[in-house]
Amino acid sequence: MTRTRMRLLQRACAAALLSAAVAPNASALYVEMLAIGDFVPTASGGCGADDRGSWPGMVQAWWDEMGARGHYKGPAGSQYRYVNGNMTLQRFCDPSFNANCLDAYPYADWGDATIIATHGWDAGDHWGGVMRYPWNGFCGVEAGGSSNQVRLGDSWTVFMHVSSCFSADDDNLDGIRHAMQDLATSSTRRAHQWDGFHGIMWISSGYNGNYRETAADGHSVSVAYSWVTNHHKNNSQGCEWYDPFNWFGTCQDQCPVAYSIGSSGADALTRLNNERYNFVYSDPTSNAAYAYMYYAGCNPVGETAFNP
Amino acid sequence: MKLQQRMLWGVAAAGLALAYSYDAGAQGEPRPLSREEIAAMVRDTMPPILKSDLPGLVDNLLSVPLGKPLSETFDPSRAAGRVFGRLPRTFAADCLRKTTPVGDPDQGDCTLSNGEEGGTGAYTRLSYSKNMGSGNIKFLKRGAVQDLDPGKLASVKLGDADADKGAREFLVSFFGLPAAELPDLPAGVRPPVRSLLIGFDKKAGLAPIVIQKTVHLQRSFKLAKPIQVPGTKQMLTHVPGPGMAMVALDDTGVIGAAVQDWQDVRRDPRMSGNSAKTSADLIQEIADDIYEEGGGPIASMKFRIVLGSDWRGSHGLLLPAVQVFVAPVANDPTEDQQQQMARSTTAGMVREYALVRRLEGDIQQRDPFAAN
Repeated sequence: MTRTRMRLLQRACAAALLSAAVAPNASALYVEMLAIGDFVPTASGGCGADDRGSWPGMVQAWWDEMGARGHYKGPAGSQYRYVNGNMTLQRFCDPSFNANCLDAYPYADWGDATIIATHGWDAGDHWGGVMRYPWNGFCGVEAGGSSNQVRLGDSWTVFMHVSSCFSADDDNLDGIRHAMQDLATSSTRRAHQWDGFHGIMWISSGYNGNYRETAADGHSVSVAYSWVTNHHKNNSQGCEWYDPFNWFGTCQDQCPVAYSIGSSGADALTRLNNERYNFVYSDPTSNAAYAYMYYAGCNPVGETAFNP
Repeated sequence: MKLQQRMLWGVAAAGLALAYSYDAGAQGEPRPLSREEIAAMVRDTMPPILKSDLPGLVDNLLSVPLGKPLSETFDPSRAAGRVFGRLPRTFAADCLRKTTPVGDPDQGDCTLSNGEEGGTGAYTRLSYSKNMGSGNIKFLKRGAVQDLDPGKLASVKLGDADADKGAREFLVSFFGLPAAELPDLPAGVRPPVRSLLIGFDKKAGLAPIVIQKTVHLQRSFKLAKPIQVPGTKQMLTHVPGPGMAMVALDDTGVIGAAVQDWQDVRRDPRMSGNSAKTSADLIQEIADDIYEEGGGPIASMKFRIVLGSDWRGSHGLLLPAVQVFVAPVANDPTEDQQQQMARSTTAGMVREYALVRRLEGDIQQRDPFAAN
């Protein structure tokens, strides 16, 4: 029995004991979204950064399609959809970082498949994401590399989608796997996949379809392939006005990257190539190796061409 | 070219002068630009034609020749024959439903498949819009689940030129895309082909593997009157239209394809250059919209003249428009500069603005790029 089915049985039993709420289908993933489109100025006690009003709608297109495919969005009246509000580090960090962190329930590590959306940056050897308000003095969440804030998979996360700039930069790939396990709490449970972007990504309601199709296609083909092919924008961003088709080489790309861990290169490759939202292996036995899917020479704004 | 370069440098310098830099003392929130500063940047960086002759541009855009619509050229049997070959295919039950319960065109897809989507075996899917005015077609294929050995996988060797040729032939022959809306590349221009790879951590000592080539084709319309870049011999000869196509190939041929939003488009008889906004109004509209999102930072602002679509349920009406790409960060910052972006605005923004005035009641809900 795969991990997901086992945990769904556990949750179903817990739900049955706690309430009369209908438990989700045993093959359904718990799907969650945490998105910021309305950032709070520092003068108002927030962490700053510009609004991107379309952003929550983009990731909601993924979340809604997952729901339409039969995955579990949460109980009525308390769905796993968190937009703006009190979005702080507390929702993303692991109790191993701070005992008051809430990733395990009901936030970042509660969903089997989770998508987060916020401004991001390259924090040296890992990704950082902007929060709405500070928590314990922290205005960002940092994951991977030398950061000890985020540890996914020791609770529930299988697929983590990060709609955020610099979330899978070519120079930070080695560190992403450190955010996908927590040896302090479990030696057997791990996240499977982290999907993000090299360089900046672009926000537009016109791109909602990319997120919807990621969810849809990820049931027919691998999640990795679905993420990368649906979010790749080939030489079409930020072109000079006279060069809309990049005939004169003035355009940039949007560069998605899909990343899986495994006990070996072959294991990581097999997971990357095969895992779908409706076909999930048991957890990797280690994060010793990783494999990633990308477009050669992908050249975004904010970074040089992808070249790990 | 020197005049053009001097012009571009001047624009860039004006842009940099207006964009604010990161203040280490106020990390995460530099001084936002004022509405007037943003308007000045829009005015300085927008294509000259948008300032000099909007009505003429609108007429030019509305005069593009249109190819035959997919609703006339897409043949499901032909597409399915190519996708499935001799494999049996199963139609989804709702393929027969063409309208909603209230009689509107059904905007969903008809799906044909071979294999079990949720299983471990091979699976092939062809989906297409039941109302092909929407212009969506998708062909996906996967092999059976199996353990993979990176040492035993061979990279695809297909060349870019062959991939481009194969993709175009597939789209025209089997999906019915009009060849006239896939422009021929000018001489010396590389085809829009990328290699999709799987890479491994360096410690593994494994070389990356090319798993496929993908060809990306933007729908385009040829302008009746090309637009010259001032001071140069360069001409804008085509503009993007609503629709994108992507074709995946390996050494066996086409293994996947997606056509998105290749809508049936028609001209709105009520629309002409007389409907054009004034340049001043357009500049203010763009500036106001960017200002409302927070006012910056803005490292670059780029424009793309397009033909959008005003969706009407079964087809779209051509809508002359401009897309604006606002990037908050520089093109190739150093690693140190990247770290200075901590807790700052980094995501780019893309918005589309109609070049014509429209009555509020004419604006339909399916205007994907409309400012929120």
